[in-house]
Amino acid sequence: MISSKMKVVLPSSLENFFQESGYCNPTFFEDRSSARIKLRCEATMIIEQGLASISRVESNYVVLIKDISRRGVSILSHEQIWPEELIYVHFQNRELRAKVVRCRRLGPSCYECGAQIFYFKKIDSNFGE
Amino acid sequence: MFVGGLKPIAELAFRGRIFDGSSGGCETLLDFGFNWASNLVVDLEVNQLVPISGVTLLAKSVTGIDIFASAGKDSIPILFCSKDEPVEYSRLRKILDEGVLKLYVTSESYKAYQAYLRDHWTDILVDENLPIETRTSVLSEVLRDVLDVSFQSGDTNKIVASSKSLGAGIVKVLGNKNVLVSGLCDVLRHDYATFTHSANVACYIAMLANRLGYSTDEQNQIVVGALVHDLGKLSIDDRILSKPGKLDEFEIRAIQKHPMLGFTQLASRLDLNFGQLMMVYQHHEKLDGSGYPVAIAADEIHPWAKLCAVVDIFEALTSTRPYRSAMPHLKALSILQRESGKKLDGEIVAVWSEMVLAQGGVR
Repeated sequence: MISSKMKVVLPSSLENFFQESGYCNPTFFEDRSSARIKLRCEATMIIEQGLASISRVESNYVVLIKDISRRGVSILSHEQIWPEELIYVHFQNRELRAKVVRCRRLGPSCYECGAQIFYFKKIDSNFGE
Repeated sequence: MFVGGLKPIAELAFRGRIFDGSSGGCETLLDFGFNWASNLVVDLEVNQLVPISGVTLLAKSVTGIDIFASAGKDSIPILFCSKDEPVEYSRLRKILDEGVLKLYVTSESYKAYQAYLRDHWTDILVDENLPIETRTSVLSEVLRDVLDVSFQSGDTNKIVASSKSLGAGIVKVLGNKNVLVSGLCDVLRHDYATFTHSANVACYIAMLANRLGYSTDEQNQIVVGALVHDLGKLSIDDRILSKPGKLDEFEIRAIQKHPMLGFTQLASRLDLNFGQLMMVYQHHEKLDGSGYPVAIAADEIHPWAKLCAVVDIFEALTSTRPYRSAMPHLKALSILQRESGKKLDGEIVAVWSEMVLAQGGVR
């Protein structure tokens, strides 16, 4: 179920976005240390630390997680995210903090951002009950 | 060091003695008022000579460096001005006007020469009595010299600091409406060193921004952005950047990382603004979304990055590259015009073309 706050527009190349699962096949040019799993879900993202010279109108985003590995996460956002920005992402009782390392436009209102995870935690859903 | 062309001189046997004026080139040197008995030949046993531009000595102060002159490759270089004396302006002027003699410093004192240049270049640039061609030549020399030192250090702080100090000087000289692009091209060097390319792009963009009506303050900022636009290339293996043959897919991908590498190096700085950062990050983006690193389209590309894209391509095409020789201006312009409105901003290409073609000075 996609929330009404979601502004990401999936391009035709990702029309089966939510049907896909499993491991990502690395491309010939990739040099990855850990395997990526296709995790397709909605998430909330906060820009925790932006860049000094670049002001942002919003800092809270509804985004889509595309895939994730032990060290990195790929996120689809409706806006360009700048390399070096620090983000907080919350999804499926998990939270992570990461540094954006690249961003690529896939189509109108769709940017794929790669980020390096430096903090990851599974939130105990029974906590406090 | 630039010693290749001087080898014939170094092979001569006139080392470390009083020169008697009996060898090749002496008539020419005499024309320039040299007193043979008092001029020592440089000791080439221990020193190699580095050519310098005479215009850089126009600050009329004591350089603290021995300056040598020779009339050509078969002429022995002799002392033109000792380190304790001010440069004699009338003799220097004659040398510059006639263009026959070449001036040198020893490799040992080259660092001192660079320091002299850094200390005095603004005196020369602001001297309204000097012809604009002279000031442009000084600018070109200083740019290369200062950027060479700071780029070689690999220290981002040094690179940004030197770019900021150079930026205002570039705008001061090239904001002058009497400077022609073709004239500027003649005094700029056109090798493929990253700092040479950055210096040339900065000079071109200063003229273009001035023509497009940007304020002096904006011009200064744009020029600084241009000086650092290729900073990311310093992180790329020089064997790839200087490869004479065709690049493979890996190498192309490595080179295409340079806008992002430069951006990440500069992104946290407080002394660079959004437009300057976008010049670094977006100067390879194209209006139709076919560029890199993000593949954004026209409306998302910062106007300063669009300026940078046009002069960046023009400079690259008209300079020597490891894999090809420099392209004539007309051919480079035809390539820009082919991309105009599709990949490059049409208005900017039109204005730049008009400036290059101005007064028929195109080569």
